[in-house]
Amino acid sequence: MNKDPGDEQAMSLEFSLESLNFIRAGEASSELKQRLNKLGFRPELVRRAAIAAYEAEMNVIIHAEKGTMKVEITPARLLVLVEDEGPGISNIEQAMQEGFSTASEAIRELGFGAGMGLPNIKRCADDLEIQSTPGRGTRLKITINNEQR
Amino acid sequence: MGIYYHSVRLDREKCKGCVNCIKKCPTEAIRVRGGKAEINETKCIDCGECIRICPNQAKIVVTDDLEKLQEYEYTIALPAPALFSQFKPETEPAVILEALMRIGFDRTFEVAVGAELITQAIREEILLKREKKPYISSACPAVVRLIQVRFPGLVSHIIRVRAPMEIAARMAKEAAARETSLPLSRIGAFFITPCPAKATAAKQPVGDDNSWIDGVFSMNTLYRELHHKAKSVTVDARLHQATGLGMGWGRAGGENKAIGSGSLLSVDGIHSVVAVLEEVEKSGMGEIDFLETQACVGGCIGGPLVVQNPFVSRVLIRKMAEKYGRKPLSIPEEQTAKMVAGGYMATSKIIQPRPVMQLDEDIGRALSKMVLLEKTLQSLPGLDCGSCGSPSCRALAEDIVIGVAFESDCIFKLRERVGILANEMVELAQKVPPAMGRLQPAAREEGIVRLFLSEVVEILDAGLKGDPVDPLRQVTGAYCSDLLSDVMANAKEGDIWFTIQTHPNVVAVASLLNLSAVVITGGKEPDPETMDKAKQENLPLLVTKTGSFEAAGKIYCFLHERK
Repeated sequence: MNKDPGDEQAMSLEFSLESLNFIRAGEASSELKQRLNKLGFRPELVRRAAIAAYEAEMNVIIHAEKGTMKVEITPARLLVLVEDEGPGISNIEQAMQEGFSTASEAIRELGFGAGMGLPNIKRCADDLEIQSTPGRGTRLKITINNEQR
Repeated sequence: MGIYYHSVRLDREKCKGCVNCIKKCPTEAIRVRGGKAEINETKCIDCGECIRICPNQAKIVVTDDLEKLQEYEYTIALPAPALFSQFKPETEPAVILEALMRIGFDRTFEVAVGAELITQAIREEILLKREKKPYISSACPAVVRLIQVRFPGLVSHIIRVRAPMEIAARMAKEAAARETSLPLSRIGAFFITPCPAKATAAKQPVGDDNSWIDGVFSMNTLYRELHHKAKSVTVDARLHQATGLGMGWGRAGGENKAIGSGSLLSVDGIHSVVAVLEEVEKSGMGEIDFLETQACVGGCIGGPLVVQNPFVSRVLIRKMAEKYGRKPLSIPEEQTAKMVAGGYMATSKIIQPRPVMQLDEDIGRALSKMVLLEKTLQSLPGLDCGSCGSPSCRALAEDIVIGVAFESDCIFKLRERVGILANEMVELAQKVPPAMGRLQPAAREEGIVRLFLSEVVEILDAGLKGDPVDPLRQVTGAYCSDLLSDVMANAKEGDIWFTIQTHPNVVAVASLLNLSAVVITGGKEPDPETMDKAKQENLPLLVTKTGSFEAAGKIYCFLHERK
């Protein structure tokens, strides 16, 4: 099989995420989305990536102290790595259930913390890995494959 | 005309090449080239933002001439709801319709009636079918095209109903054909438009192959005559058919008010629409049933082709909508329901995305271009001044990587380069030919005078960049210049070279001449690329805080003492 020269092309982006900064919240995923559109990924894939990145970004902003989002883009797939220093998730299985949330009342009043974040990410991702140490932080690895290229 | 018809055009005579329009365009479709604005056909969505902002009235809307009425045996005027809010509060809708007849139309049919029918089709779709959340209104063609171009992922959310003007045109023409027994081709339907977006949609609809509308007249060109004729007409109240339900569509929020129930959001102004659509792309906004989206602030009454102040017309249209109420509808509900079921309101085509913003058709190549784009952007000043003719530094970087602009288009980059050139010229001017006493660079006689690189480091208190090199490397002479071609001409093999230049070309010159080392003076740091290249070429790169004059002097003295 001939190897597509495009396969070697890669680009990485990095964003820093700030706790409870609702003014800048969503900027990272917005920027990611714009770039993916510019790169010519299918609208459906861009949509999934934008939603997954947004939910992951919001999780850091709502729950953690601070964090980073790193994105690696190749023609074949997107890898979104979100790492934070925060309370961690004590029971990942429980956190994956729709509706389960540990967000405070104040956060919920802003319309967040519906317990949809992680399930939403899982729905949008082809693969989702979660590693978490309670009291230390959480690491999310979201893979989205560009199958129909 | 290319693939896309556009009603927004440029009057080259009037365009002064200022940068107002490029910065206002929601799809970054305009560049200034050769002192004139250029509109990119595939990106332009005919929203008319550039018409509003242009201080020289150089952006114009092309509509039809009234003479076009002569081409048809029977003509119908289709006034947009916004038309009725352009006159004095006491001017009845029937008076305006009568004035249209006096201009030369055989019949009028209010687009508001089409809006009433569409309202029912939307209600069914969003409240009964509920397939998508949120549905996005298809009424404003500028927004529909904005979604195709900038939000390709959201095209499936656009509700599949035709525009009110299309429904109105079709109903009016079919009725006229029945009454006059004329073939449809002899009947002309003419839309009175508040905006270029609808003028374009009438020539080239998005959800259908063909339009039922045969021509478009701009509201502001008909205004004077309508205003004049309206003073003298006698009124036949039956002329006015629409209810407040359809008439209210002319202002922002009117469409939602007509739909009445469900979770409805209304947003007007193209930049606000962009913000809401971005929100939909991110968080989904699944709690909303329907988004009414209007490119113009205030809705159609804020269109670029209206006459009245939109805040005044908003009050007028609201009062009119209240006065004419919601019932009885001009077309009975059962009949509308039949039309909806029969597909009268549905567009024939699925709206396709038009992702024209991408860097390359191939994702791999697009990635390379984006890496380059980001790097280019870093080197631009970030002022978004627009002087280069692109709307922002990012847009210029994009134009550079796709090959339609140059880095030197940026006046700040240009100034930097002029500065470097000027310095070189000053130096050249200071050169004196040998006959007039130019000092020969020190220690020309190769092999006679030598020192070691380690000694140079010591004398100049210099730092060695990169990997340690042989400290016993021999230095046979020295040359001091910042002009590369001068070095090429005059430096000798084995020389060390004093310069304040830090770019990678320095390494290229030094290795071409087999110089023994490069000493960057005055405390300047070599660029990272320069260091990489020096490492590749195995060229020692020294840096010293000492200036060129002093550094060269020290080495000169040292060499001569040795001699």
